Amino acid sequence: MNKKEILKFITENNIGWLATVDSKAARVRGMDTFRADENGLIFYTDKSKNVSKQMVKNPDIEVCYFAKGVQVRVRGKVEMVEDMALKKEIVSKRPFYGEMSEEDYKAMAVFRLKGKATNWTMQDGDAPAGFIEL
Amino acid sequence: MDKNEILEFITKNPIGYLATAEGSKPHVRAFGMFKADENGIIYFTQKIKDVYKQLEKNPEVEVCYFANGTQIRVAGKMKQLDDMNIKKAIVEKAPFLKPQIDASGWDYLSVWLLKGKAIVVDPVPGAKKNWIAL
Repeated sequence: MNKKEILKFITENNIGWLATVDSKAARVRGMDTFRADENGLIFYTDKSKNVSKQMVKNPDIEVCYFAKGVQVRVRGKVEMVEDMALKKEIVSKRPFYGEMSEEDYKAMAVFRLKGKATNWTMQDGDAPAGFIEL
Repeated sequence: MDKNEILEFITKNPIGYLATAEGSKPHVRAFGMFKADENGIIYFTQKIKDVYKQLEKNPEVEVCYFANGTQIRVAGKMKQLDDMNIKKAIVEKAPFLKPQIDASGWDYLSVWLLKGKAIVVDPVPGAKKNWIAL
């Protein structure tokens, strides 16, 4: 897979399994990838959530996507993005948010991941992974 | 969900996403489990894999399972098992390992037991979240 194919795969299979390290222990949960393009991967959550606190404290993360026997893993650093236009766009495309007050927008956490990706299928077996900058 | 229901859920949905920590950096990949019961959850991997080296160095892991809108996260410590009967049972279930073991011997395969606690992230908003010891 090249960069374009990887971004397309993530866009089509947007639930990733996002891993963080909390002091010494690994953590992982399902996460909606709002967007995957040239500028990185966009995730959103709440500032009050553990995952947000963990990413602020330690921005090194890895996200795993898996569909139809293909696995894509993306690793890199996240940064919190305070972009009101982007927050409004996320809310408009994720109807479970409903009506949002100014406070609600402040509580929203948006993260951008920049990093590199590797893909794998069963046929690759033990072959060493190659990485592509995203 | 109680303990038995959690074990049943994992047995029915054996592919989880295993997160490990390599120092301050997390890693995550799709990971099949061999057996989930009262004694813990059994996993296996090849010793040449990065995940094996990561588990040896830091056995604190989290595994995330997801099916039909329900997410279960299991956090705990892995312990390596040296049990020939389990290894033989694993290869019976995962015959793709056989040629590698024929070539390199049984030591090629590592078996891990995870003991820990599980949390069910219910799709019902506001549902109580409690850790359950497994």
